Amino acid sequence: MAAKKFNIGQRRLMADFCGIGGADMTTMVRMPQALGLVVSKAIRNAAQGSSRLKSIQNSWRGIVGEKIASFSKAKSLTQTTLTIEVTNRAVLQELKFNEQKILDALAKNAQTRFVKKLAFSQK
Amino acid sequence: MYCVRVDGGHALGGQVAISGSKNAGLLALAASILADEAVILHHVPDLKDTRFMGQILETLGCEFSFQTGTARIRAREISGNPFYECVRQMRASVCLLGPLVARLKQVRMPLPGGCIIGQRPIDLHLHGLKALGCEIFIQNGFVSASADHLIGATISMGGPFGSTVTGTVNVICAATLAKGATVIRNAAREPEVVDLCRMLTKMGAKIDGIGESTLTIEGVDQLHGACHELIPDRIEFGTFLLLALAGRCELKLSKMSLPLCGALVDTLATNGAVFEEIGDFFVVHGSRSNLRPMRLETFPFPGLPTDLQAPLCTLFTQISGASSIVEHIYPNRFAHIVELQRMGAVISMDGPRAIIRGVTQLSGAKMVIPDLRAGACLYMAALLANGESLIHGVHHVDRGYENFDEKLKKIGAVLQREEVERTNGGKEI
Repeated sequence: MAAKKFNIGQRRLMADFCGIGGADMTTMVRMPQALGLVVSKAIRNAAQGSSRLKSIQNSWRGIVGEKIASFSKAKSLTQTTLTIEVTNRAVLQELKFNEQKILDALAKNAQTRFVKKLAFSQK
Repeated sequence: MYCVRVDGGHALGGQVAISGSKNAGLLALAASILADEAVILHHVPDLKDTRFMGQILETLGCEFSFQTGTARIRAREISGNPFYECVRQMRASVCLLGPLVARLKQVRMPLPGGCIIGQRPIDLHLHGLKALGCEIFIQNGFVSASADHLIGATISMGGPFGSTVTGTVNVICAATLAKGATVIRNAAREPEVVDLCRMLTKMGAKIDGIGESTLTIEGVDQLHGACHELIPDRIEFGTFLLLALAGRCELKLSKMSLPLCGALVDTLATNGAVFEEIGDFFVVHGSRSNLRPMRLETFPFPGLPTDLQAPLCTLFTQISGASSIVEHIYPNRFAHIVELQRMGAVISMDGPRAIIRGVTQLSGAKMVIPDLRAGACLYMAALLANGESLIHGVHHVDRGYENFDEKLKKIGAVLQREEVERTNGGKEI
């Protein structure tokens, strides 16, 4: 996005529209020439996160096996924590038992090596 | 995670509906996969363990549903093996061994490993399956059992501590689909085994000698679907019976076929307990009972059940004089003693014998439940004690007693479940 000067009100509106808050919002408001950079960063992050989750979801069956994959899925990703949604408590117990093996398998792939922690939710 | 805060010393009394038997339910659920048609079980208690078994069956490819006491299982196409964590979390899942070998001709299952109440190896299970023609390999903590054809044989299921219930059940299940006749000597005779045999008979199995120590099973080509109602839970019945006597209160329990209780009712009646059967109820007249000190020992059915040893210890604290109980089945099953002593109980140990002097006015304390039946014992003690008790580890009780808190509140208990704060490590504070 090309750098452009906006007034504070316009910058706040744009930040709101892009769902940008916190430090990025402050940066946008204080440094108008960073608006484009901040918005680009937010869009890039969101796209990257989405693509990483997709990558994990595509390789999930290969990581945990057919049986476990039929009762679970990679649900969401935040920073370095992958949340796995499970529909069967027996499978949940087995996933918890094999947590380190799953993390090791994710670490072997460049697209997924950033995952450091697993969280579980039962549906 | 939850704890229970109990305000002890309140008068108890009223009516208790006894749930379906947890142990019978778990055995029946495991055996239901012997048929590829639907098996419907009624009076199934809604417990963590029964639901967990259902979920294990789902991971094996079964259709499983459970609603208001009725479970429906259809094992049309099953495959795979139970997970390690399932067997570790719930030892009863080892009862899948026989049915899986019978249906799939092979299974690889984790060995159950240790248990807080004592050593519980499955060597008799494997001995029985081997006798039916299975090849057994043990490696890396797993047992693999396979057989092109199971063939009937004569097998003894007796062990150093009596007959094994789950071992007997595994062999019965495998034998129903074996070629020819199987004779099981020293078979466990517990009511849960009898109930399972009745269910299997409805499914088309041919079993002679049900309820006896020698069973003869004529193998058939396949079993079919059936409907079966589980027996009531004799351990829950016994727990409330003992609570009524210890608390000197009147409790009306849903009527139980007394032969299911084995020696319990007769032993207590002989020692001063007053019972009455009125209509559909078994009434415990705790206030009219004048119990004498007892010297008891746990034995396989029809002897005194090991699962009631812990609640009996609580009862003995309320009987004037010295009572004792010897634990023959699991000689180390006394983890509850320390907690009772913390409440003021006067108990000394002599090997597998606990000597308990009463009458002791117990006092409330913080406690940690070490296992399921100890949990019932400590709940009882907290209800009888002066003052407040805080009981941790209540998830153990949830495994085996359906709606325990609600049933106790209905008879006058004052208790409240609270969520436990966690530290960063996830441990209870």
